[in-house]
Amino acid sequence: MLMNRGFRRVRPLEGGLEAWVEAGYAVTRDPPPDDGEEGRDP
Amino acid sequence: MNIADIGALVANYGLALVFVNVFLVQAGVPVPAVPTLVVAGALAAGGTVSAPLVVLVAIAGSLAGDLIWYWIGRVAGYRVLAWLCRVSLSPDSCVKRTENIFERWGPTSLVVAKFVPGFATVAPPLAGAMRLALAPFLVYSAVSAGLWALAAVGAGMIFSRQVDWLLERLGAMGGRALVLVAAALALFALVKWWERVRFLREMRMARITPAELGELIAAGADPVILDVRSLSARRLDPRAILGARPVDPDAPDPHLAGVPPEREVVVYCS
Repeated sequence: MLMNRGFRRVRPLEGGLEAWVEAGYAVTRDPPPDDGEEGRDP
Repeated sequence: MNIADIGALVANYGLALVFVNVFLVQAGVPVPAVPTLVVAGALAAGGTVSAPLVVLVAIAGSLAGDLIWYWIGRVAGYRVLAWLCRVSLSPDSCVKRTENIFERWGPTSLVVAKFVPGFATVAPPLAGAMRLALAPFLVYSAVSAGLWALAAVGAGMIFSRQVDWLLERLGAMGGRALVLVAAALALFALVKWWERVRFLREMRMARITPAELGELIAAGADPVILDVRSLSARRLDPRAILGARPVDPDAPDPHLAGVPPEREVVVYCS
């Protein structure tokens, strides 16, 4: 879907969020915004 | 073996066969159950077995498998869905798609679960993970299993002559028929396994590991990170990668406005 919109460098994160957490990287615990809201920028 | 032998076999062990077959399917074993129910329906048309009893036993077998996954979902939450997605022989049974169905239709989506490829196995643990109460889960799952079994048994009753003809041919083949059925089952599982291997290979080629993403961020590459989990998944697990944008992958445009297409994009789910 993203590639159809012109994005050429799209990669899924192996193992998803669980793998990211297990690897010890930081996460936020903010309440999730509703669909349609803009997310947080880095 | 002839048709009389098969009839006697079903009369003696048919209901147990139906229960075990449906239970295994619902537990996630990649074997088909519809042929068994169709044959049972054809035999019910001839009075060998009771059609309502076959349907009831199929419901019981299905609920037994559903309950196991439901409790695993309640205990393990979304982790079991991620695991199911990884080991499933059906690449189309991805968690995201299942979540979308569940979100759109709510618990009543369980009623159609048996008719949607991939959804039947993933829906019960999803219901458990989403803390659906046991009573409505059992009711919806029983209705779903009942409709599904009724359709297959009904088809067997309607086409009983054709099924009898097929069984007679298989009966005339004797032991070779069993080999043929076993070969068909093995081929079915092999095709599913091969689809899965191809799917995983394609995904692996394009994936980024957490360590690689961590290095990218540390190096200041500033990739666009998209959280493509469903809204309910994000509510159940509010953790998110720092800087990630929650995005509906089916309608990403509002979230990607102003992002140059040459930017590296990393998507993640549960």
